[in-house]
Amino acid sequence: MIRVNIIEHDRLSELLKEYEEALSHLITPPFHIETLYSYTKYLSRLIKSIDITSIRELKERIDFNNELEKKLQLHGNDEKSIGDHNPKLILLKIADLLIYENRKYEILYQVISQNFEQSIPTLIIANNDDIEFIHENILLKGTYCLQTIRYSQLDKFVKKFDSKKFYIIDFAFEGYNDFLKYYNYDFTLDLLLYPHENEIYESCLRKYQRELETELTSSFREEFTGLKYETVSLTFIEKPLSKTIQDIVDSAKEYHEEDDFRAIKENPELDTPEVIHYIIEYVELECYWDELDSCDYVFNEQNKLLKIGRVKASERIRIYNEKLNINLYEIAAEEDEETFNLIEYYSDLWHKSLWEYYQSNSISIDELYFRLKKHGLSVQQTTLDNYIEKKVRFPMRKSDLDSIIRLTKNKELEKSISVLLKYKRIYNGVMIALGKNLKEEICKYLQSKALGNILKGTFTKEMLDNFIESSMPLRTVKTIRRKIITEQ
Amino acid sequence: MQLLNEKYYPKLLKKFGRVRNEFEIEDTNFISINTSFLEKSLSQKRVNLLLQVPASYQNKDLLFANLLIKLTELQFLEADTSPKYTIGMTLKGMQYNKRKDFELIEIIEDNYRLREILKGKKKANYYPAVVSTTYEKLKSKYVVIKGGTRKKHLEAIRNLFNKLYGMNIIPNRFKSKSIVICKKSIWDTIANINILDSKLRNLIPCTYVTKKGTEQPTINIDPALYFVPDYSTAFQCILRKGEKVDNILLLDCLPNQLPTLIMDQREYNFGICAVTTQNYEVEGFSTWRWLKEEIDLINSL
Repeated sequence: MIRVNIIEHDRLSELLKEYEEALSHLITPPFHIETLYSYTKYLSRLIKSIDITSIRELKERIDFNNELEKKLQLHGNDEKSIGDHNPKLILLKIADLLIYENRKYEILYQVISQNFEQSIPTLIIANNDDIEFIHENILLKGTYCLQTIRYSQLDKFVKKFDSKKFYIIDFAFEGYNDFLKYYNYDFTLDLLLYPHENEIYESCLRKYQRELETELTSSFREEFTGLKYETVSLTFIEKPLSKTIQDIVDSAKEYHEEDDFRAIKENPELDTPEVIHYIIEYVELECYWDELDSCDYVFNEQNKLLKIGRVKASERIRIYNEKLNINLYEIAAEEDEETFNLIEYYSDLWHKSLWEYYQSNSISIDELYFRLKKHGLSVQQTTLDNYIEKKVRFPMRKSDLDSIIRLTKNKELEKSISVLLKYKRIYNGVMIALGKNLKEEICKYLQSKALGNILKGTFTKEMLDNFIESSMPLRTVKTIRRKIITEQ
Repeated sequence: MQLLNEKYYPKLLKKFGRVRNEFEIEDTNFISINTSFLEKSLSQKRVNLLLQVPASYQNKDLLFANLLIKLTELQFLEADTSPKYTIGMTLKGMQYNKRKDFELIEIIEDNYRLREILKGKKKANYYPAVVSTTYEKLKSKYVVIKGGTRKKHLEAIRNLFNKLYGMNIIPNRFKSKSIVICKKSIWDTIANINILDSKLRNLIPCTYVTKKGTEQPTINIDPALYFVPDYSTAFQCILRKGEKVDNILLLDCLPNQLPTLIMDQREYNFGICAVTTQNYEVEGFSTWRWLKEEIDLINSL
């Protein structure tokens, strides 16, 4: 069951209205811009998020993104020609507003406090960023009867605990997948939504009622059972959605498959066209730096996990060493062989095409690198060596895959690219989730010297101590810089 | 708002909520209707049924276990009740208190000669016993085995078979098999559910085939069911080897392997029933999508 709590936010509603007007303006000549695909994603993420660090990161992404500029250029226009109807500027304003006045977070905090006063435990379903934010801003500052979980952990939680005793909240409603899952639970789940998110919720409810009617009266049901179902009349009030909302609903359709959906729900970064890297220099070391992806986690001095984006200069951190990941793939593959067969298949596909090109043209690696570079490859030659030896399942960026397609002209690869990208996303999502579990175990180990289930199979305490000491030393951050790379 | 026609469901239950019998694990109305649906679709083989249950449905494991027992029941009909014996076979003597395994060494008309297989220390100090018996006695008192097998488990199978068909034998050869495709974790959960004082895994002669083709039998006799993690394993390790397969049941499966099954169905002529907790449709399948409101209503009847 779902209970919706609507959060009024006049200024946000005003800005969304402006955004809608800007979109309507852009469809008309001379602009002819039907959709701004990446903007829809940003908007959808912005209004869900309560984490200020994520919103700031999003703001930078929006600023960097050039979908609007490119589409304007297609018909010979530029930013000046759209005047006030500039969706990019409006998105940036929305980001600013949500940084300084995040009503969703305020309401969430109120609900948690009220529950605490009434001794009702609260459970919050959130993505990795928001969970950290909640920990930093609520849990560290006081005692609340509060638990946070990731979306994929919800079913385990439901099995283990009596969910009816909890006040369960999700404030990032993703559309029909969420709707079906939550609607079917025996307990009540509270959604905290802005009014326009509620429109999405209501459209889901209407969709469900339509599907229900179609299913109950299907000809197959009647043939199979020999029983006729007499329909009870339902009254639907169909309501047209605004373009902004419709775009959000449509963009969620792509993640129809559960695995893909789950990956994005927990790690929204997987779905943005830019990649943010963090470059960290240390006080202890000259001429050395680490470059981490925005999804990466480090340990702080208190041995707690911290997303790299939250690290500040002069903090002391340990960088997680990827060598500890050895067994993760096997663990994941055993859990879901069917999906992993497909991951393996698509991972072989690009590799085979690259390998065949390399072999049949009898060229050196240097030459191959040179040719790929000409087609837009962005990585170093050592990474290409890893591609050839198949040390990586997928190239990190879409543009690198594109360069392989352009060079090898492999038809099968070209045809399968969208499915391949989907499985790349699922793979990344699973590995992030498992990697997070493993990191949590190491975190626990650092704090209490207890080996968790994943670590137990591979390491003894002595091995792990040595490893942490030699490969993951505590260092002081001198500088930390962001670098945005486009994927489009 | 009233969404459902409440008059429909008592009729559905009357027609498909089958009579309760003692080996059902837990029989809510909803589970029994689905069990009947499975039976109907697999015995008539007119449609490939795709049953969709909501992901949050709480009794999923029990539903799967019940479907599995129904599938076993259907497969037991294919038990070879007049099997042929050949020299060299290993048989377990069920009439002895201690473990006694034999090798079939000679067949002259209705006289079957068996020689005891001695192991360990016994091998050096004793002569193996030689027993003569008839075909009927061989059938009722000995079981063809493929390796070490506990008598207790074989007796549990006899018990189940007797309850189902009133025949006092242990079905240990099957003319054809069925395949269950599910994740290892699902298999592990349902295999450990208790029924008739045994774990489910000890009650159904079945073999788990890993992706690499390694066979892990639960009981070392000819299996009635094969469990596999995906269809490609089923195809490589069972169908391609010429084993006759009656039915394939998929538990909590993803849509991607279903089209291949439909393509192979014409050649191998098996029945298919799939159960999923996800919301999708696949060509070649008739989908019955259960809605939460219906499940609640049916179980309240």
